Amino acid sequence: MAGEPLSFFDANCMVGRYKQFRTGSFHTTDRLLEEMAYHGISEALVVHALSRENHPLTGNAAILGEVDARRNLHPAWSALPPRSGELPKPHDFIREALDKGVRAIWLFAGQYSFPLSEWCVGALVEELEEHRIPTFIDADPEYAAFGPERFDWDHIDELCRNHPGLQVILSAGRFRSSNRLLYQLMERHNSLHIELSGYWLYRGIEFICREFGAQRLMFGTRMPLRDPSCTVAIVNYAEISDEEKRLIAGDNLRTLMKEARW
Amino acid sequence: MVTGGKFHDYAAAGKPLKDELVIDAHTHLGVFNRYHIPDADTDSVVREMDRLGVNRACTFAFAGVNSDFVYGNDVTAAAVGKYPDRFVGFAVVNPHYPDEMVPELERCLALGFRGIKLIAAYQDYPEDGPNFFPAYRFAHENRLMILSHGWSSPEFLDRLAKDYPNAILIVGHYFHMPEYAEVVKKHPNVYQCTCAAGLNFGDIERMVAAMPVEKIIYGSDFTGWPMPFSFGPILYARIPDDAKRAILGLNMKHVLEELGA
Repeated sequence: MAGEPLSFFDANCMVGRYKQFRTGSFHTTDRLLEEMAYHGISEALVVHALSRENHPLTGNAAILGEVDARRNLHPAWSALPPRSGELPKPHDFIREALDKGVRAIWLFAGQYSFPLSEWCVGALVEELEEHRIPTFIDADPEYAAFGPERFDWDHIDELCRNHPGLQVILSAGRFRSSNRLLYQLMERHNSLHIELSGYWLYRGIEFICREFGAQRLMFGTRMPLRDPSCTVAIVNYAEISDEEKRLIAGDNLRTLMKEARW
Repeated sequence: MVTGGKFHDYAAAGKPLKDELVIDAHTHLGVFNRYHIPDADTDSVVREMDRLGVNRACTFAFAGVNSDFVYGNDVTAAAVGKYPDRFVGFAVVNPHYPDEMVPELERCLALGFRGIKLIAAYQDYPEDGPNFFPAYRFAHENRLMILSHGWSSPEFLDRLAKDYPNAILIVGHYFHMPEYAEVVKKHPNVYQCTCAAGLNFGDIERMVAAMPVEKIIYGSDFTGWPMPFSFGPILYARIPDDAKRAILGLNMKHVLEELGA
């Protein structure tokens, strides 16, 4: 790595007590900041464990309290299919999110057991698309999932086709068995991105950069579950240009988050 | 707690490990049915090893894991034949072909292989099943390493280490808790591979706390996984640089020297 140290912006961090806590790990915001400093990560997008495992109502409020006054931590919220009325209507929900400085939304489709089909999330996604909110999708049923990824690729295709302005970032405990399918969809949809914490494939970064461009990848660690050094190292050691590294390390995410607006 | 150090600085700068000895105990070659692997031909893999500073790799073919083990061993033999200073060949065996096991191991030994790879979970057959025992005996009689994805149980590995003391038995993966630590500590012929360490926060530190550092050897699982994904947690671990140096290469160097490999 010839240039300046990369300014890593971690797209996938969580704070708060989570169900499958691992001995030796952590769950507090202060410790997250310590680990970020040790691993050279300057910023992070952080979701609360309650948003993932319990309910967006509780977690979305909690994360605002956690990241308040810590300028290098950015809050992320999670959302649900809207018709139950548990959350404000999509229009109001997105307005509130932007008002409170939230520039990214997670759809934990596996954890909350909903499909990403139009009839289910279409109304919500229309608002996300209109306001250019980066939308992270995780189809794993548990945070600590380790098996083959659970995406319904037809639904991802439908989502990207019906909402071409929606910036979709796929996140998984492990992208593995279906990377051949993933590439088919990346060819079809320029709006489709991969968050790196689960994309641990030999020379995978080099392949994506070569075939689809560095703008399709986003650095993420999956702290506090995973060791952040895994994805820090695959970016630092990737055989790609310094500019491509800067994009992956953080500039791609910064660009997308800046585009979010009411 | 130890922080920073030379290896941390290497990782932060993306600096290749060319000043250090790095021996990877757990690698694959060839194409794979389960997923696409970019740049998987052997010449490209050696180039990647050169680029990152990996000196040698114990290796076996994906084909042996999920398909024809004899064909897979041929793939490994070709790599070992072309790059004898870079690859240490491991033969994959399949317990569903018990009559072919020892002849295939004899063929591989003649080709210069120095180890056996067990992937019983993928073959739907337990490591403690009777069809694997000829391989254990063969390894004992010929001073070979056996790298296994798992070992059924610590009790089974304990018995195996005692019954076949000339075989070097390697626990192929580390998944969060050091379940084989007591066996690793107890037997001089049992080692723990770091492969998969990092999938849980603090794995390397936990491993070093649980067993002697000289019994821990680096394994990456390339070309399934990126090499830096696996050595990153070692470089960043809060352990002394000497411990990192031992794990990355010196421990395996001693094993290979002991076996004449």
